[in-house]
Amino acid sequence: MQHNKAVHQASPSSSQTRNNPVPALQVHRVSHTYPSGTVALGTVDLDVEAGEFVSIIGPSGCGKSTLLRLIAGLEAPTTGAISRELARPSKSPIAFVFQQPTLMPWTSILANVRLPLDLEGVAARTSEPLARQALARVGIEDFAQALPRELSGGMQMRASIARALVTEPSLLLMDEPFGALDEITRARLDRELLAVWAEQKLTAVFVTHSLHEAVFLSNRVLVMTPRPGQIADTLAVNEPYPRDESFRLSTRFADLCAQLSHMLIAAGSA
Amino acid sequence: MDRLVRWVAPIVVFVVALLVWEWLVIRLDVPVWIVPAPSRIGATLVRDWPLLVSALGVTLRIALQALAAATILGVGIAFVFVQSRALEASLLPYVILLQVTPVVAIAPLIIIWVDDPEAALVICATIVALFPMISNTTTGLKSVDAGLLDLFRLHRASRWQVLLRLRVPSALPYFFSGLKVSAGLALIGAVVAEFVAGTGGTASGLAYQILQAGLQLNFPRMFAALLLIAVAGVSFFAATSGLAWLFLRRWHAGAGDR
Ligand SMILES: Nc1ncnc2c1ncn2[C@@H]1O[C@H](COP(=O)(O)OP(=O)(O)O)[C@@H](O)[C@H]1O
Ligand SMILES: [Mg+2]
Repeated sequence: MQHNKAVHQASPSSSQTRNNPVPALQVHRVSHTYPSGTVALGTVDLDVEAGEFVSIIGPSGCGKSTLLRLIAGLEAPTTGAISRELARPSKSPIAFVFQQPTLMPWTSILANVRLPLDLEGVAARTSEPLARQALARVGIEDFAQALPRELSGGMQMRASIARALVTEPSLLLMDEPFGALDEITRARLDRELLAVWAEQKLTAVFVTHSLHEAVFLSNRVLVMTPRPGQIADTLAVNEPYPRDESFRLSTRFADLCAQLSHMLIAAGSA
Repeated sequence: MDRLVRWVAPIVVFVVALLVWEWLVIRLDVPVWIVPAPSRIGATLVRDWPLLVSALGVTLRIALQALAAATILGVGIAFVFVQSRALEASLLPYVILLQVTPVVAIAPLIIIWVDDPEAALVICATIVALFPMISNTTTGLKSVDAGLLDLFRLHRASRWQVLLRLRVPSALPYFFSGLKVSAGLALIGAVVAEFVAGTGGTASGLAYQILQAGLQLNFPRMFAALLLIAVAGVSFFAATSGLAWLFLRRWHAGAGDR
């Protein structure tokens, strides 16, 4: 798989200095054309620093999911290269949260969350407490034995996030994870996600179609053009963390959203 | 309420139908060689019980062996099909050929080729029951959630892990709906094959009893044997449905619906 190689190619971080950190993720002139001939992604250059929270916003079909899949190594880029400097020596340094909860319907939440560890061959004795810990981190430890269908959409999404966290990844990729949830649940999960991100010192790449969510969460928001998507513009959100609802209610937040909205229009995306 | 209706309503229909049948036969004075009254059939069933029950045993044995063979073969072939597209493409036409050829047309050949008459009947019934197992299990093994497959790939799951932890559980509802169909077909296959084999067959199953009773103009016994075949068919369906329910009730929402 693509990212195996990249992990091995990555140089040891000896050259890394505090002032000039090596990017955790480098996407270099990457484009993607599916075998069907669809040019899903134009040429994209993107560096993400370790511990950064980057959001990607753009019209549907512009290639956001494709870009995430490329970063995850689920697709190989048609042109260009991707390198990942992943700090933690984990077997699964990359975690992916899909648009749907994507849980196995036939088994418990606990078994679902444990799955990545099971696949790595971690013994149940070790993996079970880790899975319970991950469940506790997203606040659904009481539902360990429940089946996915017994949980609400929001709680299923929490389980999906717990599963992503269970391997202690360094890079967390999320593809419109809260898109199907109601506004209130979404805002709560946004806050909780930020807490986990800070606590775990994750590097996060987050795809969303909500301006507000992008501004609330990110250090940086990338605006993409319509298909084949390219990065048209970048909005820096220089608001310190931890962020809470008072940020959402501030005029600064409204300004940033307006700015982002203009960028989307200028990119031909709105 | 729903459950009660589902169980009681068919029984009421059955009892009412029997009563109407009995009444019509008496009222219209229907001769026994056209339609015997239910009471006559019942009496025959009791009188010929040892004969009929051993015939039922033979038919059930053949059907169950065929169902087991069809399950093992069908699942095996399905596993092969999902491992290699080329193999599937090259073998599928022959599987379909086997399916569309009427068993009554092949049965005489198989009965000639295979010395052991019971084995010949089992082979015929297996051919009849095989296709739903193959096609359902293949569909099931392929009907894997694309997101889950990505997840497994992301965590570098082996082919084996994908098969056991993802494809097999995803295939279970399909497998069981195939099993329900195949169970009925195995019984039909067993009866049809024995009819074709006629007196050259095992000379002991229910189909043979029907043939014999027909020759002897023993119509109540024909009906009694027919009744036993119907009861066996319903039991097969009930047993496989129960099995499906046991396996799937925890695994899949609405398991019984498929
Ligand atoms: N597996 C695929 N094969 C062919 N075309 C695809 C595939 N996946 C996505 N596409 C196409 O590529 C384009 C970009 O898709 P996607 O990356 O899913 O966009 P987004 O996530 O921004 O909505 C779309 O036109 C889509 O139809
Ligand atoms: Mg998408």
